[in-house]
Amino acid sequence: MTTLLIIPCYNESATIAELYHEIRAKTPYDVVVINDCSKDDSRMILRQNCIPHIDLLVNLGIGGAVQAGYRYALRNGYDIAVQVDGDGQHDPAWVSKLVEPIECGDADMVIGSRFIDEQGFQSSAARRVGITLFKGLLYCLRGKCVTDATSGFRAANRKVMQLFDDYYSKDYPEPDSTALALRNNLRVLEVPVIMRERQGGVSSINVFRSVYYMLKVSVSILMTTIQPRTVRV
Amino acid sequence: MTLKLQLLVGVVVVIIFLFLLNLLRKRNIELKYCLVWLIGLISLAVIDLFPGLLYALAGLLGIETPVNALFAICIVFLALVCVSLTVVVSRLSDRLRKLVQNIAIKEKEMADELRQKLGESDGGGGV
Repeated sequence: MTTLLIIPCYNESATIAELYHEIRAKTPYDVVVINDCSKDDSRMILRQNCIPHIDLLVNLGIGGAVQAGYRYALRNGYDIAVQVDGDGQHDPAWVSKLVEPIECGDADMVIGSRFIDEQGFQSSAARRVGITLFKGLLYCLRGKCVTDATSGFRAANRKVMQLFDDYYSKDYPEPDSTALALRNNLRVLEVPVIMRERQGGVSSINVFRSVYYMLKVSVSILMTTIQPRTVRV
Repeated sequence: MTLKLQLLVGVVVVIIFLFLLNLLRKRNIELKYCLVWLIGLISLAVIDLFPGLLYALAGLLGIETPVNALFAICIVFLALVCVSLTVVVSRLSDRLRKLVQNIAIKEKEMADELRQKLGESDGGGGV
């Protein structure tokens, strides 16, 4: 099965080249970096290091960037797409763990969770409040325990890619895309991973936005329950 | 409704109508989105010419001052227009997103094709 790693990149010039070389050293998979109209010299670094990348002409936000990656994977016949953050939080060594259940046909989507083994960087306190809230919401609405719905370290098969190509939230897309996959009766599996503290860049979630973030994502998760299913399993 | 108010509303309606007509003339506004305003204006003109309609409506809705009925109708009308505009904006941003993604993907695919044709050894390990 062919696998593509999708790396959304917005102002990650400090880490992106290092991450790419780490991936090359640790995994055999293809890579595409989605440069979401970075304001720093990410684009130059991508070119100089001959890193396969897609340059978006207009900043689309994390959701739009990742969605472009999924569409690219679909169009080029990849069986599995893995999303990896561009800031170095996700150790590429874990990618094979995410891909494995999909290759075996045990899952449609695999999420790398920090909170199963509770090892490594456990995120900030504020963010953990949100994670707990989403966990509760997903459990109530979809009847499944997802310990780390905000994790951007995830693998998807073509069915899930198709779903995300069809609809993917513009901002903070991880929790509600998980809800969307569950809503469509796709098999979502979590595997334990160890995450590192971000090595560079600025998180897309700051203190002032966190209230908006929790509200928006909660409503978004709620909405998935009344939205029509798009995948027939 | 006093004659004074009737005249005032009439003048305002005519001015807005001319303003819209001018926008249409210069093609600064799509007729599709302008129609709703034209219909609103015409309704306002009709009420202005025949205030009896407004009194009847106010009585029907249980509003004591007929002018308040006019305000209530205007607010509902404007709210509906706002919502429809939000729908239009959402659709546009969705289309823009798709457009940007597809152009960017196409660009990469074309660059990869070109590289293959030139037979260069691709250091980046593209597709």
